[in-house]
Amino acid sequence: MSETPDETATAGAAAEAGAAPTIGTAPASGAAATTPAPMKIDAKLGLDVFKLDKEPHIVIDHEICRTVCAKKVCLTVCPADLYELDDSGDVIVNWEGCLECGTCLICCEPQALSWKYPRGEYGVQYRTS
Amino acid sequence: MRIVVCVKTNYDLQMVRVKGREPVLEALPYKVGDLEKNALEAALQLREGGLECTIVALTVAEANAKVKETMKEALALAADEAVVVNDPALAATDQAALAAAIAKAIEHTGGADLVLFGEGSTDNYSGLVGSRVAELLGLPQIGYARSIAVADGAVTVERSMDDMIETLQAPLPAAVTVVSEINEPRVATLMNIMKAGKKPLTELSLADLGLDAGAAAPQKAVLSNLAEEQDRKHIIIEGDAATAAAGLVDALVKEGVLGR
Amino acid sequence: MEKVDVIVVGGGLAGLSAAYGLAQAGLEVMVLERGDYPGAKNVTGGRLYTSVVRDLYPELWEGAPFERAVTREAISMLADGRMATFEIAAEEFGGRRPQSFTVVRAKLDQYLAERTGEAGGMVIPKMKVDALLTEGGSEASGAGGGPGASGADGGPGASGRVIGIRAGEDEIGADVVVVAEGVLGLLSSEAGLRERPAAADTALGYKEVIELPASVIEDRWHLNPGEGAAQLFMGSVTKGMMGGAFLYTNRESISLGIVVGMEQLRSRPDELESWQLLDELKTSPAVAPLIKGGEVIEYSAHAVAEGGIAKVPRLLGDGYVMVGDAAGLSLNALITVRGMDFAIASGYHAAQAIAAAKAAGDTSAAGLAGYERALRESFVLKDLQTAAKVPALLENQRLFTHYPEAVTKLMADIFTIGPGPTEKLSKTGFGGVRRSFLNLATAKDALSFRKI
Ligand SMILES: Cc1cc2nc3c(=O)[nH]c(=O)nc-3n(C[C@H](O)[C@H](O)[C@H](O)COP(=O)(O)OP(=O)(O)OC[C@H]3O[C@@H](n4cnc5c(N)ncnc54)[C@H](O)[C@@H]3O)c2cc1C
Ligand SMILES: Cc1cc2nc3c(=O)[nH]c(=O)nc-3n(C[C@H](O)[C@H](O)[C@H](O)COP(=O)(O)OP(=O)(O)OC[C@H]3O[C@@H](n4cnc5c(N)ncnc54)[C@H](O)[C@@H]3O)c2cc1C
Ligand code: SF4
Ligand code: SF4
Repeated sequence: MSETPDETATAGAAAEAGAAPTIGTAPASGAAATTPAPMKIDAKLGLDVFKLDKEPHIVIDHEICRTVCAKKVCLTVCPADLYELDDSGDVIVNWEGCLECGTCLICCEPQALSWKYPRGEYGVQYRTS
Repeated sequence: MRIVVCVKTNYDLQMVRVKGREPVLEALPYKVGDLEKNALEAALQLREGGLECTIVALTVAEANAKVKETMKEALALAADEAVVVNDPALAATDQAALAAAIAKAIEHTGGADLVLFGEGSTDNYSGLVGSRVAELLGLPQIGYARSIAVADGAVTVERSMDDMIETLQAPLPAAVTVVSEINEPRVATLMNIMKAGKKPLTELSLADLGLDAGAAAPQKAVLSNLAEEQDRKHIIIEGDAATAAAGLVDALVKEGVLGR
Repeated sequence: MEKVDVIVVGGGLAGLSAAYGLAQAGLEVMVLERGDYPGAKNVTGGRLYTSVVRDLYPELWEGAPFERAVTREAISMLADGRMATFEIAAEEFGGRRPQSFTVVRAKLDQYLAERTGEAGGMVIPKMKVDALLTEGGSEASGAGGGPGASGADGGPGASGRVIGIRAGEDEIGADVVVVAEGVLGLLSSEAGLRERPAAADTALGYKEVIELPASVIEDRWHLNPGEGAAQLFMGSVTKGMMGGAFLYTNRESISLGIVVGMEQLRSRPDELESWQLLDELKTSPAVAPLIKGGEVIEYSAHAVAEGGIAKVPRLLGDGYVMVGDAAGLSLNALITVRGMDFAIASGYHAAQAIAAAKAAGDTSAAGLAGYERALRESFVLKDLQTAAKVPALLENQRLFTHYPEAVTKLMADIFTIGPGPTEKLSKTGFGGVRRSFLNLATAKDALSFRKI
């Protein structure tokens, strides 16, 4: 009988494939002699606590993105890099890793976003910021 | 009828940060254990189903302001009153001593017709406390409850087993431990939180229960509970899908995992 | 409808400072905070100027969980792979009454919440407010009532008196609602009490918290135990955009982050992504040694109010006051942000004014007007007024490109011994100064700097 009482999870989307075909041994953490490569944004988000609601708190009106938006700034302004294009070229947001800064809401000129704070008990919970 | 829900006030495990190999427990928030929320919701649903009852939330813990705050959450969720057995001696105890304190506290505060537990606590999950309390109080106990009905002085419980659902009945008073499928606990509403502040919360020490500090002394000691340390190979294979796949196969062959 | 004296929407520094004062005054006050605990949703750079708020709640600051007293200040200019740092350590920064401390919000906000609880206030976390209620039984709607210049000349535009809040299904009334919801102002703009923040008046701030042993921090920044450093970076770090980077030393971690104007961020022609700025800073040869061996333990982001006094909405109306970031009370002093001291002071003055209004039995705009008067007499509106020219100045690109380039070039010239004959120092130095600083544009900048 396996019950998993704590079902909430930390967010973190799949890591993308790298570019150069190399096989190497990663340096043991902390002991790198040269400047280490920057941490992937997913790894940074993996350090945060996210309590996931079932419903997204950001909903995109795709019709507006498709028809009115010339410059898709959401793809570049988000400090968590959560916006991307799906296979059909629509803008999607991986709201699970949202830092709740509101930058996308403020920067999206055509106002395609319905953006609320997550309900109480959900969303990011900072411990040391 | 009196329903006692035993609630463990847990650290919010999701908030734990690990430094070195030790958890950082400083300033960690508490919360009502997950399955205990299900147990509270189950009690509430029994009442909403027409059962006349008083719901009591009971916890046993070391003296700590956060424990009382957390019990207000239990009051906001379902309970009419709360009992906190609050004693510094409980800072280090074990399931046997804890169960003894719970049993005594139930006897001391008016008894119970139905005692509800989580099947296991959110952190330790030893699944011992419910059975031990039932034994000490001489109650029939039913575990893994996925539904509870009360009628005619008996409780009927569907148990969620690996390959079947078992339905059992026991005369009241009885003890039942619940699993998460039993319900979807509601979140506390603002009005209920405001009311919770005004509900009675009784604090008892071990001495109030006629127990001395020695009663809380653990009979076993946890020497270490770290996950096994594993040596990783730190091999990173990069490249586009085809190159990476080939690299992975090579590496696995070299490690003796594949082929030969 | 259930009713209390005062509801505070948002348990940040502004809301909690108001609630603490109200609880002390014996009012029934309830703080509603959406985070798991106060501070769970909050991000700051890291430095609180206690010099300006110390006298407001003197008893609070003694035991407050501050990180380090800032005794060492540095500004680093970055350009073309060069970094020039100006540093000052001054005894007057520290001593028995340090002028500023580094802070961690999760700790500081919870501390204030605990003190508020002890004083008799009720702080309810995990509780999001869904709407402000206005008279007429309706939820305030966005119609009409834009913000005017700051002036207590009436209620919230088209909507009536603020009478309470809604959270989920529950509506709770209050004589006064303290709007302390922070920079995004979602509820207050919905209710017509202010405008939604515009990209031109808002910056994105984000940071990493990087763990380092206390001894390493003290060695690396030349600090005595318990003392801290603040280091600001400007120049190529924001690629010409308004903003900069900050580094604050906490007890056993540092906060390293970026503040960058949203308008400039979103109107960039290239594909630069906001989060890349910090990675570039961290890996630059001049900065990498500062964080070497550190372990990142948290990544956070938040908006920063940068509109200045021109964007401060009406501060109060019938049944409500606005405090802290929700009222745009935050000051962008060139590259540092001051908002926490403003939040605390506005909360304090709101509490005093509300207590007086309650005692006088008038919680209309007229009854609450003492709040705005007090802010005008305090550093809050005075400093914002003094800095009125700053937002416009900050849009001046030269500040973030030309000057860092000129200064770092000048310093590099001074210290460079090339393969050929060395130019006379006076020539190098003066040539650089003349080329970079003595022209019409810089003269105009100098004039506008003087007005800060
Ligand atoms: C805040 C707190 C801190 C503690 N710290 C320590 C410590 O540092 N070292 C130590 O040795 N022991 C500590 N204990 C006490 C004790 O060891 C554990 O509570 C005990 O081991 C319970 O076992 P379990 O969690 O595996 O319970 P399980 O048997 O898995 O729990 C099953 C059910 O029993 C009930 N239950 C469990 N615990 C309690 C409780 N405390 N009060 C009421 N009902 C309960 C709940 O309904 C729960 O769902 C602490 C207890 C608490 C509450
Ligand atoms: C990166 C960065 C660096 C900064 N650096 C500094 C600095 O070094 N020094 C300085 O003085 N200032 C600095 N600031 C500014 C400063 O942090 C803010 O001005 C300050 O936090 C404002 O406090 P506040 O209480 O008004 O708002 P907040 O701290 O934002 O508090 C608002 C609270 O309301 C809650 N809330 C919002 N909506 C709801 C709702 N609907 N229901 C319930 N609760 C709600 C939020 O969860 C939050 O707790 C910085 C800001 C940033 C982002
Ligand atoms: S900026 Fe706004 S409108 Fe444009 S693509 Fe992004 S979400 Fe859609
Ligand atoms: S609120 Fe901030 S973190 Fe969340 S999606 Fe928008 S920009 Fe990204």
